[in-house]
Amino acid sequence: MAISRRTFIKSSAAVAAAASIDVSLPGMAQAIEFDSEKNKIRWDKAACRFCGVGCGIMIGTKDDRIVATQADPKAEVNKGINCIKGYFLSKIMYGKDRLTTPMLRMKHGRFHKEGEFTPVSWDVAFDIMAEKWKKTLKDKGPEAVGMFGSGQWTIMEGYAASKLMKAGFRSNNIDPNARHCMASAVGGFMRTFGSDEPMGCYDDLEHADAFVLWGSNMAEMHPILWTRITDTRLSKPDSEVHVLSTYEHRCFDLGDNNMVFTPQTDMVILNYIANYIVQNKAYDQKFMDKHVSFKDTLTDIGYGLRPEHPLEKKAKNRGKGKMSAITFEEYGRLLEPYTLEYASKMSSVPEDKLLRLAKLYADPKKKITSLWTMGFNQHTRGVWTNSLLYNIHLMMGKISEPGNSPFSLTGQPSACGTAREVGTFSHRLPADLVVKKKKHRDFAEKVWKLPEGTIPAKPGYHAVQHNRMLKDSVINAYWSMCNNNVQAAANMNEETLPGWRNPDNFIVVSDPYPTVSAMAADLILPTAMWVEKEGAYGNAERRTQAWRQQVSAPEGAKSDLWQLMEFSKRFKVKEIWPADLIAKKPELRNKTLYDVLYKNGNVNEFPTQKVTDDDGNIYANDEMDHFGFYVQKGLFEEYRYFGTHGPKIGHNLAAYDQLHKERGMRWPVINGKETKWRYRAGYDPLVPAGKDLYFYGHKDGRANIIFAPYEQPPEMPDKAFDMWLCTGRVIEHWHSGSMTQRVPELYKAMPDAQIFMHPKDAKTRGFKRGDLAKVESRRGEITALIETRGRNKPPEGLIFVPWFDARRLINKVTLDATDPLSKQTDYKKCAVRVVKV
Amino acid sequence: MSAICEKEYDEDVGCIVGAVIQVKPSMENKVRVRLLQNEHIEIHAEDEQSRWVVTLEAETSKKLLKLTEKIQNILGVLSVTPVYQHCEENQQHEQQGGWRWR
Repeated sequence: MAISRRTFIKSSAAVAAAASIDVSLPGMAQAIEFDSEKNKIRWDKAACRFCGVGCGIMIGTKDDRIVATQADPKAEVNKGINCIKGYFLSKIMYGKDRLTTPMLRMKHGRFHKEGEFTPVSWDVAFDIMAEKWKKTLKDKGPEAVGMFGSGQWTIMEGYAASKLMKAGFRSNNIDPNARHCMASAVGGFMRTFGSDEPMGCYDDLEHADAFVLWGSNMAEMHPILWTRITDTRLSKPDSEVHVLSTYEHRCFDLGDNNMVFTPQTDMVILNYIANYIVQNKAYDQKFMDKHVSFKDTLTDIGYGLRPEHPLEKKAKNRGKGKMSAITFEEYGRLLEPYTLEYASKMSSVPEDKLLRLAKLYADPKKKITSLWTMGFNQHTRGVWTNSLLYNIHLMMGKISEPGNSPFSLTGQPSACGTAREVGTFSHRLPADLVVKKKKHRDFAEKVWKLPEGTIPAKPGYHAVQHNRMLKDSVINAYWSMCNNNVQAAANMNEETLPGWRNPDNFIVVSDPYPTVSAMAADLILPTAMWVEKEGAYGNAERRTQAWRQQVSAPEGAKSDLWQLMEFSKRFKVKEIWPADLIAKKPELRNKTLYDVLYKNGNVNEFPTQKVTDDDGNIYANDEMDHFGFYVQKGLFEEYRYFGTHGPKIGHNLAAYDQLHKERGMRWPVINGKETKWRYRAGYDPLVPAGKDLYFYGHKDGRANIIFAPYEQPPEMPDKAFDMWLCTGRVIEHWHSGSMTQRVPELYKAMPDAQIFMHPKDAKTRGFKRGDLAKVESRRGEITALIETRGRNKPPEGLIFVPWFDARRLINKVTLDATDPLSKQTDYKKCAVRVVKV
Repeated sequence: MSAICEKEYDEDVGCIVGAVIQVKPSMENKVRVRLLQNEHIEIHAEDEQSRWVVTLEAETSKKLLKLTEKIQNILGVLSVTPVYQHCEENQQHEQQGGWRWR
């Protein structure tokens, strides 16, 4: 039975789609079996390169080129389905302007800050970099070097970078772009539970009776999880979906109770629901008695702006997060002002809708999964707001069991796995350890075989401070990897660009493409991406997923891991460490940072080997070939030790070899088995014997219910700037668009950022749909076309502008106010006006 | 995409996608009529939850995306989720948003 190649592929496509919903197409499957040999493509698993969902993708490779992709039917995350970005995933690697040689700004044959980008060799690139780093370290010390990393780094890359900065250069000035997306979620987890990341998992999406979306457009940003919610909603009787947002979006199509609220009043709504539960005595008294403590937190904490800003001067408790114990009765009294009438008035949501939502949470029979992303996190009170939602779940005991799940979604493929778990933040170390605790530093130094006192105790500058410190010439040597922060950081005109183009500073960007950040740098390093290297990511449900190198990178492009380790060879310990530190371990004196950090007996423990799969296919590993040992495995296993033997329990990862066999595993992984629900006996083996539930992140095993009041945002519409601006993503593009804008199909589907506006607002300003308009704030302006009928429907008084478009940089307009506790920027609210061009 | 490149690849297989379409149960008949009007769409199976297994074919991936969007916009279609995609045009034919060095 010979079939044409076209028919063969069509049959494969139909069978794969059918399998994803457990439907069989027997005739077609036979045809595939018969003809598969002559159409041989090598298939292997990988994790998707884009969002935090962490879908499994099968990569079809032929002649060192990816020719097909399939949603992995064995992947528990996406169960054989893809979203539209996954559809065109492999194309991100084949943009015409892939960088293949380092580019240095030069004039008259030498580096010059105002020079033209000129191709140079890797040796020349690292020579000038090392020269600048050494001079900076010598003149000003470790606090003058910095690195901006990524939740898109592989776990091993993030770990290698963190070691290089914290233990090699002895600077904590490393922060990931996850600061922009997840820091408030982390703050909420740590304050409430004492341990980062969700207790539940994606299985909750099938177990829940109701879903509540708080500031998350899952239909566009997490479409696969949204499909799972849609399936549950349409197949489970009496299930319901509640959607809260500051503008109407695609999730409203499925919503049973849709609510558009005034920005920042999510805090009022959350406290109203808590108050409703208290007033109606709907809480689970037994659960609270056994598992919960009540806390109050300092208020009037400022907005993370520069200290001289009037709002910061005015704040009574600037940046302070101290909590005090209170009783349940005191907690109830603090909630009293948050009545239904007050919540409705403040939020503009009709009372009946709010009441319906409160009754849902208060119904002990309903299993509820609450989901949120940037609406909660990019919020000047993001840490508080995360905890306000946990308060509700904790009062009702609706937590840590199938279907009852407050679930913080992530935006990046390894925001959890790399940025958070590895601890690439300026204050963190692996597995929830922090630099300010001596016990934690001691442990890290012991694992890394370094003298006591190597890791500095003071947290470094966080992401927003990086740009301010570059502008102020405090940081002078700066390396940005695997992100596009010039486009991504708020208040670009006043902070980011002046910092990057400051003549005192030398800026390096590693990227596969010439992004906006690359063009603002002094040196660009061409980078291998995704499956051009072996790696691992950790998704939003604590699942760690590893993949093998599938194809070669373009000649000249090198992985971030290669770059970090090669660069470390340029530094000798005696050149950059102080004498008193070297005296504690004099044998390190003449060694390079490469010897000390990566050839330390741990990382180089595993010799070179053939990387194979169960079918006997052989895969390349460029880093193993170059360095002469299994780099990825060595780094991962050294890192894993922090979770299995460190001072904080609960971060046990699977062994590296096991990860290559599985479709990812959710930590804690104990005796080779993953954990779906943390803290609950019967699911989590770390719960002590005799306890039904134990929040072991805190010593007393209790979670905190933390009261926090509504406090208004730093900037609100007024006469001069009369509208709210909210920024975000659209389905076709991922983040700054540096990858998706290079996929022609995605570019053509959404080529330009638009100003989504209510038709009445457009009319009163004299605009028609498609007119060019200018969005102005106190900081900057952009021009774009008005859209009044698009997928996003803002209420009157608010506009939405996506940030993927490098030609319309909305971050010229946004405000760099942050949550003062998490230091995460609020990209969802500032005051603008929209005027004629 | 240049005409030459399109032709070269289209003579092989072009672009083929296997997808699952979630249809609103009350709208099945209307959606079916709309889908079957298009010769590039084939319905292979349906389940009791109104999920349909389809294949979509087009000469180029651009046209395929248009087709997907068209389906997404049919009243009664709740979601279109691609599962399997084969496009033999992964070379550097064209890209957008790129930088020209000079």
